[in-house]
Amino acid sequence: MNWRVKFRLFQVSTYGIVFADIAVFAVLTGKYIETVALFISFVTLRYAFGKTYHSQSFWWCIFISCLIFAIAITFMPNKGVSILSCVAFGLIIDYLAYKYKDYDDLIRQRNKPFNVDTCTQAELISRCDEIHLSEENKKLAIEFFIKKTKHSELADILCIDEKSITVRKHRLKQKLNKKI
Amino acid sequence: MGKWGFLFFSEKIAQLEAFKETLKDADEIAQVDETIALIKSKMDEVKA
Repeated sequence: MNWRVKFRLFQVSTYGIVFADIAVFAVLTGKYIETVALFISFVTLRYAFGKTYHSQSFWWCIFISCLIFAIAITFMPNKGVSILSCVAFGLIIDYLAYKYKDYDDLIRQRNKPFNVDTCTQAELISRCDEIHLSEENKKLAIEFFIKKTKHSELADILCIDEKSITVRKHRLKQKLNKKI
Repeated sequence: MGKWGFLFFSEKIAQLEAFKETLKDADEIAQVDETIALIKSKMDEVKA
């Protein structure tokens, strides 16, 4: 069997687990229309946020989805109270998943080691300020690592020999990449 | 590829990664890897 067919079957079976969980809780609570409203709002509104939380493990994601839907279906108000509250529940789930992903990205960004070879100009300037480099060194760092100016050109501008430029670049790189 | 596309494809990658773990055939694993790499490169292109 082609792997694409196997993949479709895999998708159907994993979505099937989530749908079965949703169906079971809809039947148990008798909230059929509310569950449909919650599901549609959850699926459509999450695209408004651009990103959403995903666990590293796909199976953990499936488990979390089942758990969240179970809790949401159990606690959302009956359609007699307000059908719109089901939409709001979907929106709240989407918003929390978005905020968590945002927080997760921030933590990852903070823990990422600084690298002069892969950083952007804004990141480099911020790093220079962080380690209190002089304005001259900051400008040089931009020339070395962002503009990639030739050593010979810099040697001409600073009126020093190319070897001194190489040493300075090496020292700057070490200082910038060093973990604080 | 807008917000919808990014979410759709990042979910597809997660599914493909999980699906890959269920495969035993090296050829099929390589094909899945190739598909994942293709989707990632398309996403990086759009990001850039």
